[in-house]
Amino acid sequence: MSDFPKGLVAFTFLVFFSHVGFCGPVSEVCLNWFSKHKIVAGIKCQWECAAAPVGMGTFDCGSECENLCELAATGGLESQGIYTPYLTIEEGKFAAKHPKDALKAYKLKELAEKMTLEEFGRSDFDDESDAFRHYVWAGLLSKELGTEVAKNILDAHESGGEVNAPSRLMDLSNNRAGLISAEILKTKKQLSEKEIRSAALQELKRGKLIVLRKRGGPR
Amino acid sequence: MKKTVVFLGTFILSGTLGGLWYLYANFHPYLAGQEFMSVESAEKKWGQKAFDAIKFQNAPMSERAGMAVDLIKKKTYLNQPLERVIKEMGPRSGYFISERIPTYFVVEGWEKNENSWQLVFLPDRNGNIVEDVRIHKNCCSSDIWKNKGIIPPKD
Repeated sequence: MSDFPKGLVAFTFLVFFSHVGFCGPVSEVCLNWFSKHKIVAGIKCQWECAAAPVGMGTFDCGSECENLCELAATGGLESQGIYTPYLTIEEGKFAAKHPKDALKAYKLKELAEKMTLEEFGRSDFDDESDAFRHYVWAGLLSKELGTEVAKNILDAHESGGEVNAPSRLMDLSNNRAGLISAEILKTKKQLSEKEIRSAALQELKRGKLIVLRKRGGPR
Repeated sequence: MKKTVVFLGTFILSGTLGGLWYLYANFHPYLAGQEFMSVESAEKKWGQKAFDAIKFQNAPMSERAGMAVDLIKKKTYLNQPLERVIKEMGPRSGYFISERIPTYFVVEGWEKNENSWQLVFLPDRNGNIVEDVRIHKNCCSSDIWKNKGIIPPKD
């Protein structure tokens, strides 16, 4: 058996995201534009970037060449997939633009997974534990980063797959339930980890969450 | 003297570069904090049973575990597209880090307060090809058992 220290992963993410973070913010439109023109890191990067054709929507991208080239040089563009093969393209873009929020979201995901294991004794797919995990993660994200950022992260997480896949629709529905619940708790000034967890269990018991494959639980 | 310095310098430099390359090639930060069972331990515990993707889908957990050992030892899906795993082994169960990583329970211990294990198909750096197949402890780490007031079961 092997047991890696958990701190190591947080440290790696911190190093990676802070590395990306120094490059300054770049717009999603320009990230796409830069990738589309297949401009690579190196001494010619800024020349090629500045000379790349721009359109109406990408008119300002030339002014972001320095940041874009620095991102490419530090692996900020390509390594989004390299370091984290489980990230979607949209999540990678989000991490490049908002490294601190991405790190926070990652830690909250771990917390939601831990809560799921404590409540269900398993972390499964399409079942009650899956619904709970999504609801709680959405609630925690809303608590720590605000509803709008939370929604952006959750949508980025669900991007890339088959649009009408039942599993994806289940996740989106339970994410939404978690966000709404956090809003309600916020207005009551009761938004806390404990309350989010408790609300998730209550809504699951009442049949308010979408579960595709009933397996029982919490235990 | 000069030769020795050059030799030592080259030795240290190549060793450092080799080490860095090894770390780059083998270190996957997303596996940090996870607990895996070696295939040797799994074979000792569950034995080995010929893997068949169709049979695996409906097999009881006791047989699934043995098939998992066979699949890993024979490297059945190594370097194959992740989609092939889902296509042949059917709907997944379990969860490991992301919905994009195929997982299948081989031991479900939650009703008996025992550990649960799942087969995980780890993707390559681009997330497309199966780079490694391992048996992962889905639940529970010793701290979770202790939080529940339960003495952690032996594996």
